[in-house]
Amino acid sequence: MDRMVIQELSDETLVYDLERNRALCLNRTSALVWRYCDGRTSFEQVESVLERELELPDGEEAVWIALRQLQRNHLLRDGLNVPETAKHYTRRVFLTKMARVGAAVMVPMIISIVAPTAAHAATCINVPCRGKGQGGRGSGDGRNGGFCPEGSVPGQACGPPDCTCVCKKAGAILRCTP
Amino acid sequence: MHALKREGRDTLIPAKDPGGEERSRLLAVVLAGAWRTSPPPLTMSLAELGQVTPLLLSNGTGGLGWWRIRGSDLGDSESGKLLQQAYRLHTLVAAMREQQIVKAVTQIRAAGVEPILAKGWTVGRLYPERGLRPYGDIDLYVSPNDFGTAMAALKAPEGKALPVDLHRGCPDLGLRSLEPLLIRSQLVDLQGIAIRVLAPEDQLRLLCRHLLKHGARRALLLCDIAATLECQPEGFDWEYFDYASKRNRDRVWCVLGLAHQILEARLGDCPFLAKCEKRPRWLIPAVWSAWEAGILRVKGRIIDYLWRPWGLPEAIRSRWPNPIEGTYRSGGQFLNELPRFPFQLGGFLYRFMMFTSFFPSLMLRAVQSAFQNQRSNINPAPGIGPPADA
Repeated sequence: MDRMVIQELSDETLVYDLERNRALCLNRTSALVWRYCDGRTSFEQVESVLERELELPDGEEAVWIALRQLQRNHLLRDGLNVPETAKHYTRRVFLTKMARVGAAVMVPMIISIVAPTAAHAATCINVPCRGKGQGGRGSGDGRNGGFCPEGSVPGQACGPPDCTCVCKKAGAILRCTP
Repeated sequence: MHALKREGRDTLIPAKDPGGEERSRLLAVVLAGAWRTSPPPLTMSLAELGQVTPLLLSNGTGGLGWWRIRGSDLGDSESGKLLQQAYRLHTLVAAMREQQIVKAVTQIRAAGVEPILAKGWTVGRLYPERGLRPYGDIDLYVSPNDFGTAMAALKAPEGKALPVDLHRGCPDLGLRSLEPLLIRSQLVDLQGIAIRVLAPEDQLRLLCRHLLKHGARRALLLCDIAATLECQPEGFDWEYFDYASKRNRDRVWCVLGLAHQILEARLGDCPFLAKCEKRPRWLIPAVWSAWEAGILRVKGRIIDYLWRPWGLPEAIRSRWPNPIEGTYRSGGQFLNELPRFPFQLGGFLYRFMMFTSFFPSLMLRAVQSAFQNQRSNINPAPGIGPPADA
């Protein structure tokens, strides 16, 4: 496609939509489905490719979820007619199913690539909260608003025993809050 | 942890932080060997990676940071995810830039001009993957006589919106004529098109001087030196490299020495190892400060401060050269331990002199744009303004 710049990496495919000025990252499953959206390959063929190459137990559900994501991200030229039998397939339910068999990474996924800034990263410090027990400050690097350490759960303490900070969810990120 | 603070209306300047040098050292640890296909494993704590991630991103080395930590536990951290995003974006942009390079070169050649491509892609191809070396524009060098023709070709509809930085001759190497570089240049393939690039020795000289000219502020430029050193072809002419550097010889060898000392770049069969080991005591601390300070993004032109003189001290401060840039621009000697302030002052005065030589044309443009703004306020475009019956 002229309006797209495509880069295939080992386990994901990157797409830049020049028309919409958006950068996307397709995981292996989504990229595989997209590759076969060539106007010649049937649904059943794509399904069997996924089951064979990715060892997916249920190719049909994965293909429909991938197709819906591709359409939502304007990566399909033509419209998509989803049959009634497939309308109830959701990524969340499929993720739960795949997680049970240790195949969560195979769930189709398309994410936006946003340029990370130094200012954004300045609050991402991956250090335990120092809290009130150490200098009376809020968190992490001694200032309020640091990221919670890995493994933190929203609503629970996020630092060492003398830390009084709590992990609070702010949008998509967890902040260490006094 | 340093934060960006807003100074005045127009500038963002990194706040000083006592931990700045430590962060720059961490940056060097992450970047050491990162340009190799299989970089050495990185031993670093999660906290340290978090501290150095802002510097990795601001120095254009987010992709290299990801390359170093991918496949390890650090790669799964929040910082790792940010670095991976940078890597992905750089990869896509690099692919777009390649298409733009082919277009730009084809456009200029159609006008009968042969350009030389340097920096950017020509260095990026030495890295294992294109996403590891981001570049914002396309540096093309043409003969002074052909500059006007090349510029006209790029202004044609097909050439518009290409991010080309067109150079008249090669002032970065002190050359008005392109002949000495054209004679030694080489043709390499890019998407089926033969692109003319500098000979490896000239490319390395250019990269060294480019790094000094910009005060070594971007760690990425030192990685370029390291990658070029380790990817030099057989038969690299070190004698020519030394000879052609002429009065910049000491500075250039200092830069190679920096790449070796700070980033552990291998010098291979360079016969001038002793020259690389000579460096002044002030140089490495100056690099740490430069990395921490990063690129000072100054908005607004200096000429605008004629109407806002109260902002002039800030404008001067934000343009003050660091010791490396000051020494380079003022033509000072690197290999001594003299205080750097006189050289920084000299470098600033040099830039001021350059500015005053362009002053008349800058004034004219400033007056024209002020006049155009005034006219648009008096005569709004059709369709804008209160309805006729108001």
